[in-house]
Amino acid sequence: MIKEAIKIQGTKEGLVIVLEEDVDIELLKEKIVNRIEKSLNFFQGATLTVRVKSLNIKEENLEKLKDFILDKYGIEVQIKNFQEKHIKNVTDDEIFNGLEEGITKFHKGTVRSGQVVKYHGNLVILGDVNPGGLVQAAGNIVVLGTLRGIAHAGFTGNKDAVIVASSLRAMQLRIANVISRSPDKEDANDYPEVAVVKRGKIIVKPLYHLNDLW
Amino acid sequence: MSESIVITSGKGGVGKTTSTANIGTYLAMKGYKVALVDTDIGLRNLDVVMGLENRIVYDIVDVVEGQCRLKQALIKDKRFDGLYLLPAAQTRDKSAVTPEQMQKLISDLKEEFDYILVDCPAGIEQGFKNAIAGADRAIVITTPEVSAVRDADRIIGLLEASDLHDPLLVINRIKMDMVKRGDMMDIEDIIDILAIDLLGVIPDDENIIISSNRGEPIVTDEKSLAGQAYRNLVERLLGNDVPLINLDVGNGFMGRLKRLFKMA
Repeated sequence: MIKEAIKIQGTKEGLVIVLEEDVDIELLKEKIVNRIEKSLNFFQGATLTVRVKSLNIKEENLEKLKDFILDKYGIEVQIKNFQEKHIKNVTDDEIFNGLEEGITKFHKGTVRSGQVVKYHGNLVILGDVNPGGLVQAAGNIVVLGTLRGIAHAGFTGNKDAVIVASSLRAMQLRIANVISRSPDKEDANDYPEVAVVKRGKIIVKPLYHLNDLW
Repeated sequence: MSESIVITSGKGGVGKTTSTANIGTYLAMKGYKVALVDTDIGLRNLDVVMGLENRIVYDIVDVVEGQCRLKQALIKDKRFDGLYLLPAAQTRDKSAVTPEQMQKLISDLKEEFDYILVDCPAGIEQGFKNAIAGADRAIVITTPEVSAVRDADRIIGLLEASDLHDPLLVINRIKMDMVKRGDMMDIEDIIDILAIDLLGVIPDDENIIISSNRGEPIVTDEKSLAGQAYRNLVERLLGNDVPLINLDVGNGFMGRLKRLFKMA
């Protein structure tokens, strides 16, 4: 059976159309119109929410589509990004709390100068972070290589977030709104280390001191 | 009365950033308030050469976009009072700033500083246009290579088209022994082509590479010939009459010995 790219669900935010695949504006329009025409009475007067997995559609085109449906069927449509809704506590204003157990991204490869890897969850870098590279996570950051750039853990405000690296030679460490920079004369250690916030300051210690994490 | 000076070259790798760091550092050593502005957005280096890379929190793009105040983005030098760096952003590109925004930025900096030195990126595109936007004067860096002189000539033409007249020339990385053998362009040859006033000549010196890697501008090194050349260059920039130093010392044992006695 071919997997249906469009599903209708009833949830507390009203009727929700979930689009499983990447869609362009024409396909999106076609799907929504088809669905509405099939069961016009059912939709009448309801608010329709459409969630799409990846939204590569210009804002103005979305507005046009919403106006089109409102004019033709009198149905108000909300269009939301699929992923945003499925991750809990992910908006910039909310503090991420999944430090011990939470959504995690694995980034393959080296983060080079000028590159930014940002994630609304925990972040694992399977490679190095070079000087000038920036890794940001709402939760913890683990670098399974050498961290030479900037790491910002708990960027949505969680001061309990930690930064772990196999070799920690970061230019700067940031946890929530606390910043520390590397000493100008640096003696880097070659064993894994962890950075945590203690009494408003970032401290770095060997990774086997795990008792006071979280 | 404050002045903004753009340091440019057209060609990459001829020493714009190194010269900006050294000229700015010596101006600060002489007691002026100096702001160094890195406009090489996406390929910033001035912070590394100044040894201030680990202090960057905000940058020039944050300032023009209103994410922070100008004072928050200015990094105080670790050695000299009155010396500050406004770093470029690394995660953006040249189109993140417009020439109008640069003009506003430079005029804001002028309220605080005696000298604003703008480190220009290589090329003649938007980065160059941004860098020269707020400048009162220009310093053109070249090396004694035909390709670098060609690019310098093009840049001088573009500066004139933007009403930046009478730029000053710095010839960097000259090797007197090669000039003597006739294997390198002479100072005279270069001035002949470019026809602008000479501000200084900097000898090729491997200590510059060492000092850049350490983040300590060579101008702070009392013994270095290149450092002396930069100090003289700044004196001339301030309007003092300083003759070109005699670079005509060999690199052999006798040359080094002679230099040792001269410097002592």
